[in-house]
Amino acid sequence: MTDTYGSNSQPLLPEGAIDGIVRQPPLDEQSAAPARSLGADAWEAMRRSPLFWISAALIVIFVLMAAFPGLFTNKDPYDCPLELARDAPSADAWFGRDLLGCDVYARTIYGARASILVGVLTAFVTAVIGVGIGTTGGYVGGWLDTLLSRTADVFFAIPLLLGGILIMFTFPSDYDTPYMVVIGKVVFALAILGWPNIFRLMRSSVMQVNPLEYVQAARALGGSPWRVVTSHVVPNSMVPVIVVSTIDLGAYIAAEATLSFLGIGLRPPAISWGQAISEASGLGYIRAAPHMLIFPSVFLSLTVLAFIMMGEVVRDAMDPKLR
Amino acid sequence: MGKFIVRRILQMIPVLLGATFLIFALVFLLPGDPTVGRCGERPCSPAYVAAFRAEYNLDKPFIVQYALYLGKLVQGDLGTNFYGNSVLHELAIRYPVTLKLALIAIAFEIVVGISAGVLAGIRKGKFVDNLVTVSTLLLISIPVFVLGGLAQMIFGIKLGWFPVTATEGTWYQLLLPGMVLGALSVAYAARLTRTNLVENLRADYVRTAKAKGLSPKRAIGIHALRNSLIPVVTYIGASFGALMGGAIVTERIFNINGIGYFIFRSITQRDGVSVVGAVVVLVFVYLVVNLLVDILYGVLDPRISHD
Amino acid sequence: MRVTTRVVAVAALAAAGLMVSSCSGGTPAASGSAITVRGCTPENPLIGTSTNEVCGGNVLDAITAKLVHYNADTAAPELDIAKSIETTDATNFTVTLNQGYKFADGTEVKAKNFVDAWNWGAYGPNGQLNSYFFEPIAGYADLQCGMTAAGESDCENQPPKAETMSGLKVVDDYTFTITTSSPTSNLEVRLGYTAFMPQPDAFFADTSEGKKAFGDAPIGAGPYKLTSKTDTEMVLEKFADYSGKNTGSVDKITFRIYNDTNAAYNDVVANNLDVTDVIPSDQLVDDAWKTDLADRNGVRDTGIIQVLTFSPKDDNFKNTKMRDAISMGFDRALITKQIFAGARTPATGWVSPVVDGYKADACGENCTFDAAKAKQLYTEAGGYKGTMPVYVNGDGGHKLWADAFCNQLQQNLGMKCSVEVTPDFKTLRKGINAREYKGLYRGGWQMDYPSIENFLTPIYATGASSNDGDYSNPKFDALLKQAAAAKTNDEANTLYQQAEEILGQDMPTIPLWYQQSQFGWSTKIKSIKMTPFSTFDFGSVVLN
Repeated sequence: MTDTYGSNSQPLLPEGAIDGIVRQPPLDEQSAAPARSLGADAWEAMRRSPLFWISAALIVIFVLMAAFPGLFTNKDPYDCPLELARDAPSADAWFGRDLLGCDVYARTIYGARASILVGVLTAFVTAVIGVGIGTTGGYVGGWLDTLLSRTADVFFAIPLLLGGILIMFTFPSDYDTPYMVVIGKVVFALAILGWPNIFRLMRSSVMQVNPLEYVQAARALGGSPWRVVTSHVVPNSMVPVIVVSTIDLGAYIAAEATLSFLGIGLRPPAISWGQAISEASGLGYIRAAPHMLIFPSVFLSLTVLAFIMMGEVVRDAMDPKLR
Repeated sequence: MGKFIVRRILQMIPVLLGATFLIFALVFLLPGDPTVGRCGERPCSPAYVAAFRAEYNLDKPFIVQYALYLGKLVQGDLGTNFYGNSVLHELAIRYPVTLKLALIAIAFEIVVGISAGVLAGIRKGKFVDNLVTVSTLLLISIPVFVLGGLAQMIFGIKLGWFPVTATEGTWYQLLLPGMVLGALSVAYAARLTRTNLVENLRADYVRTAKAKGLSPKRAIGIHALRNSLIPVVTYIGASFGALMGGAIVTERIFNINGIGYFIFRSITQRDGVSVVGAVVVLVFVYLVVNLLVDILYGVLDPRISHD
Repeated sequence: MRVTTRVVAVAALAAAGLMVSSCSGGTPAASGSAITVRGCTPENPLIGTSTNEVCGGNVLDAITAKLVHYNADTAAPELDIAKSIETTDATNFTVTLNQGYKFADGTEVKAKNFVDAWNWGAYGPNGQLNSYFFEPIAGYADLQCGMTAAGESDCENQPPKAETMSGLKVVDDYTFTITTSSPTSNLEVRLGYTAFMPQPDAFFADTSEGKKAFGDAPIGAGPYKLTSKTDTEMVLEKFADYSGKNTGSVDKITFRIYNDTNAAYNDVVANNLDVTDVIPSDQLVDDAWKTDLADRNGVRDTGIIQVLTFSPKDDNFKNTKMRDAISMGFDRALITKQIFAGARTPATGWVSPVVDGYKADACGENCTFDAAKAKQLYTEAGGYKGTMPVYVNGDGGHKLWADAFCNQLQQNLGMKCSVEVTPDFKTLRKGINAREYKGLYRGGWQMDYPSIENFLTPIYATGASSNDGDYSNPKFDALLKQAAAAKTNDEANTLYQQAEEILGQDMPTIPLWYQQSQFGWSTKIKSIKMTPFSTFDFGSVVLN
């Protein structure tokens, strides 16, 4: 053993919760053990789980909402008559109106896009970086591995929220910043310090897969390192990454809300649940017009729940020992 | 073991250097001159700006600033911040408070998190399990500023069970904020405990123990639980550093003079010296705790050797 | 001026009512009485010439005495340490001091304590934030460092020509003279600002860099003295030998530092803190704070005005009709009602109603909401090309009203408008100072001293230090000059009012609203008053 992180039986060091932003602990490193026709087995297991169907339905609804908000409402989220500010839910505005008189229902529907984009993209970017570097470290080993591991430590040691704040302060957006760039900055801020989590997971996973017979066989047969890695090592090490990424996804959506609360998250014209929640979270507003907080909160919670549940279901299904 | 520890300590040095550099670079990149806004709606007088920049080495190139800073750092001098106070002194006041807060959060995590996890684990699929699952997932999905504000209003003001704020930072005052801060980790600790317990309950050794006539209570208590808790302990240990640095929102809501809000305020004030100093200490704490957890893990789990 | 970036929340108070609560029937504070007050971290050493924000200013106010004291109710200047300030030409002033005034360290306040302190504050290399307050005094320019070609101050190679201002002369221990470089009729009013406080000998003996040691334990001649200053609190105790008229009522005042005004508010509701000078804006909705703090709340009109400045870099605003259209195109009353819960007063001019010389309606119909007329002017002006950005800082709770403002312009004028939130006040100032922004940007002005002049000269005179819109009108400048040289205050005020009328034609900025301050106290206190400077009058505290 050169390093504890490579230990086969040691769970990766999971990381702490950071005040609203979570670095998700890898729940089970052993699920990396490859099974025969894993996908089919897992599908069989998931099909029988009601949780799977519930979370899948929720995710489909939210993704539809993000892609085609017009399907759910014909109200304009930017139509805000100030004289109606804070009005309670009514037939006209089902979820009531917010501080500026905008329709809370329309804004909640339209807010899905930014929130889900932040969650999905951040989870995706951390996964890509983490898998790439983690595979390199785990497969090549030696000094390169040590270098990469220590580099990951550098990023990991800086609390996610602090790093996010620093980055958002350093690269502010303005009115002609395109929508996707605004989203991209939040994603970047969260991903730059979030990837070491996936890196560690992947690296350890690769180290477990590496000595297995089929990988050794592929090597012995003279497969190029690239081929061995892409067609054997990575596919067989991905399960824990997929699981943790689904769970992280929910946490990143909640993280955007916290950044908004600190005044550095997404910015208009982007509409997001995080902004809505942070604007409505003053105790005085909660007392006078709780609907402004409750509805976007419920949507955010449901989305986070849906993704976390999906992650759990996938994990259970992929891990033969839990079946 | 000794060799392992020495190597890990040596490896901490480049990590510390890397983290300081990263933070230093980010702080240096911050838009906004620290003197801007110090004079209200007026621009500061040029004399003031020049004096300020010279005093804090802002007139030198970035690399020189960093070298000057490092030179001081190795002597244990964290520098003087823009308020003219010693950063070391500022940190010495605030770290103990945040430490207390993090300890309360962790105690809460251990007691509530593990109990909930065990309950859910031994009754997998039953009502308790579902209840724990839903409530922990809910905790994860509620932003901490909503949770903190509501806790303060309900338990502090309406019911009067806890002090409303924790200005002096006594243990009693920090109870409620500690629980708010720990709420998220509680959720994770519970999920982690449950998962591991469920897995271990199916393990051969537990079945063997039961077959040998051990009462289910003992089988669970002695064998399954002990083995299940190892990763939970690891998780809790590793979350310690993160809890200390991450309490920004909690410290703001409860007016705690801790390290999290200090860093946030320093960022907004462009007080780079304070930000870097505080984060360096944070990184150091993180590395030390991580090392301890690794060593502890080797002790707890005989399968891991550090040689 | 003192910077307020926080949300100063406000509740409706229709008339310019000044009295918040009367002291009828209360018992005067007994000896040993103590109160806790919300405080915040001072950004600078507690020295009069370097403190320009409320956190340090609130403390300095209580521990210092100046030549002039502002009346807590009317803000009118009253002689304090000065026995008399005499002039015949608004240029040469003779100041005579009351004898027997003591600093908290027991030494007597003498003429040299003023003259030396002012010279020190004005001296360029000392880099004092408030040095510009001494600008009117003759010889100020000689105390400033030379400039490099790049326009940066260069004290090392081009030190100032002199260390003392030629316009200040000590006559004897209790008399000194001030000569201004041009007539300054309202000099007396200015002398009550913190920058003009005297400093004891101990101040000049302090050799620490930037007088930091003194700044941590300042010594003033005020009713209170600072006995301890830590990161969490600043403790003031009554100064036994205080010789002025503005005696404090309680024996001990503890400023407890709060990072977040919500926390302070909650502590006052729960009676853990005795006074807060800020009520979070969300608690103003439906008067929730008046329920929480029944019979222990107050509202005060303060000398603060908020404006939006037209960027000089934006060609769309070259046409006056465009500026008029925007100012007319949003409903100030609706925004103050819905966003501030009626806690701000729509502005009708550029000068706060609390000061001497205020005259309503300088802005006239340009500040009166008229959607149809605004739309017509907007069309005549050719419309705004592109999207108009409105810059506000994100750390002061300004986003909400700016959003409402933009929404209204979109509805009423059909123009595109986008709120640009900078992460903090510093970033906003940097952008404004560098003239980087197009569109509109926020400006808030809190008076330094209670005079109509303080709302005009520093902001709208050609080349003035806070002239963010680069406004320049020779007629306006000439009127300011005439007013400054006026023989009587009334004459000066009339001229200043004429100058303000010119702003009404030129519309260099959009006046938004005048600010009020809400405050609350615990059940321990029967009544307390706030001054128009949004500080507390600690002489007015009556305990239950």
